[in-house]
Amino acid sequence: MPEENVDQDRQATRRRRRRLLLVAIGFLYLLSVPWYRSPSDALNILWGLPDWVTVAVVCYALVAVFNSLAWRLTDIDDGDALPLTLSDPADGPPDEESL
Amino acid sequence: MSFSEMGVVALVVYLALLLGVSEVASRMRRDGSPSDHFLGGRELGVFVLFLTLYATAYSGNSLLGYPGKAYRSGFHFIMSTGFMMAIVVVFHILVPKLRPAAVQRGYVTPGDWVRDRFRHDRMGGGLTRMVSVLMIVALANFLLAQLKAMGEVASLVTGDMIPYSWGVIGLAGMILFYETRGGMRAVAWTDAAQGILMLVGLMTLLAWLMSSAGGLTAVTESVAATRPAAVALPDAEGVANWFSTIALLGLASVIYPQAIQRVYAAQSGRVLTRSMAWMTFMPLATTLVVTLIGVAAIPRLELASGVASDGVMPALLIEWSEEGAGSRLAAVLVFIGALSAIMSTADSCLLSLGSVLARDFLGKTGTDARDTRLGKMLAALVLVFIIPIALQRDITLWRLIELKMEILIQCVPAFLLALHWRRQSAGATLVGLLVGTGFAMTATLAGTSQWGGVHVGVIGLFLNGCVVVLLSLFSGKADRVATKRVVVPAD
Repeated sequence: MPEENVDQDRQATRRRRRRLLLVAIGFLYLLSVPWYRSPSDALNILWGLPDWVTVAVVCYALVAVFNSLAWRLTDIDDGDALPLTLSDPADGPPDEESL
Repeated sequence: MSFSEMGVVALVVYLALLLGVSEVASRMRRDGSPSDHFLGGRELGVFVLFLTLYATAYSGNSLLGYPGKAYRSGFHFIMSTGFMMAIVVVFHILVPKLRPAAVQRGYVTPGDWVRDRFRHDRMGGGLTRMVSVLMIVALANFLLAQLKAMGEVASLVTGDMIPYSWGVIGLAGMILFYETRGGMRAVAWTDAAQGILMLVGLMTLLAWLMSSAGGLTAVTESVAATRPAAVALPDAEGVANWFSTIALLGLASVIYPQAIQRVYAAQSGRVLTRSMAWMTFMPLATTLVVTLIGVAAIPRLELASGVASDGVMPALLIEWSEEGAGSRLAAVLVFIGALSAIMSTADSCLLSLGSVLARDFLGKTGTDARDTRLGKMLAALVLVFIIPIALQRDITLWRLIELKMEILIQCVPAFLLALHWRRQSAGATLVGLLVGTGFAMTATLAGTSQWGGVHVGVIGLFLNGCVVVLLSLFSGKADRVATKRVVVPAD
């Protein structure tokens, strides 16, 4: 397989994994807020904190790990600076391809 | 040595260090261009970028406002860890598209993006100016909160040997001096040192609180006995408020001009993603810690009358300092850590204010030293106007943050949506901005900050977004032709 195709496959896999991580982060945020619990539930201490607080802390710790992985899978190609800048009066917008 | 004497010595040493850093930064200047001054020549590496992002995001509000909020609302304020982390999550929508455009087009301010994106739209200029007005208001509000906090901390750490008003004026002058001399380099390097101080100070204070209270379980039991509502599950309104606060702060904070400028200032895209990968852990080391500190103060300060929310952290530190010489020194260092967090946010606000006023509001988008000088002059003028307001001590920091966010969040469609949706027009974005801002401001001035737990700024953003989408979809053919030509960075 040509090297270019291998690179494209690798990038597509990274993008797919990043999307999955971001979806998982969304679910963790939903789980972190105790909308599914009754306000009248008795206090139950888990790992030193009220159990609903422990759930939130665990969710946010997992968000941190997943988000860190998602950033490591994010590719930002700066490219080269265009010859024209905002200060140039004759400046037009760059082609989409150039960005 | 007494607490206040130690405080004065620590303050003098800290300020001398800041001057040294600014001197080195000013010698590193390459030219006087806006890019060199306001973005540090776009050469911030992973370590400095990470620490400057951290010190800028975590401010006087985080160290003085958040413990007070946790003290008032109890464990519900655990939401703060979620909303601070949401900022680094929401950056996924902004950074991968904005960063390449910024490098290739030479953006210096957030308004440069708006101007460029809507360049061929006749309402583009008006939109850029309106966005810049909202950003200036938000930044000035944020700066005001930091100046107030600086005065409070300087007065507390020196036992009022440096009064509140002297603290505000003197420290504001110090920030102006090193920011004017060293620009973004001085700000970023002092931020890095300030970030480390803040982190060490917080960890030390938490360790003392937990050990003196007998551990986390003992703290929770004690809080439950003192104030049962502080450990109770939130009701429906509390749940709505939790989601709303995550949306409000997560979305609005990525539009901070100083945060956007750090995205521009990174040495490379890879440096930026690596810094973000580290930044995502910081709410666990900072916001979670200050929440626990505020909650742990509930049984300790319950009997102390007249403890205002912003005064919780100082009250704890003063109590700590009375336990012996070692504790006194540690408490002074935490105070200096808090002061450094406040100053690091204030200097970033001031630097951004100068550039946004000059480039986005006045339209001076040149690249030479004259434009930089204009930015510096405007920053100094802003300080002259804000200091007299900061000398009034009657507004709490938390309310200032909320007001700022409700305004700033209305700029979200001009960035997060415009980066991804080609058909969005400037006219629609401007009308949406006016509708959202008008709604949020009217409700706030009428004394309503939330409806059913949802912030008026979030409701305003919803209305704003609906207007932008509907007007962009149904705008005239000519506008659609124009919007097809605008810049939308490709994936």
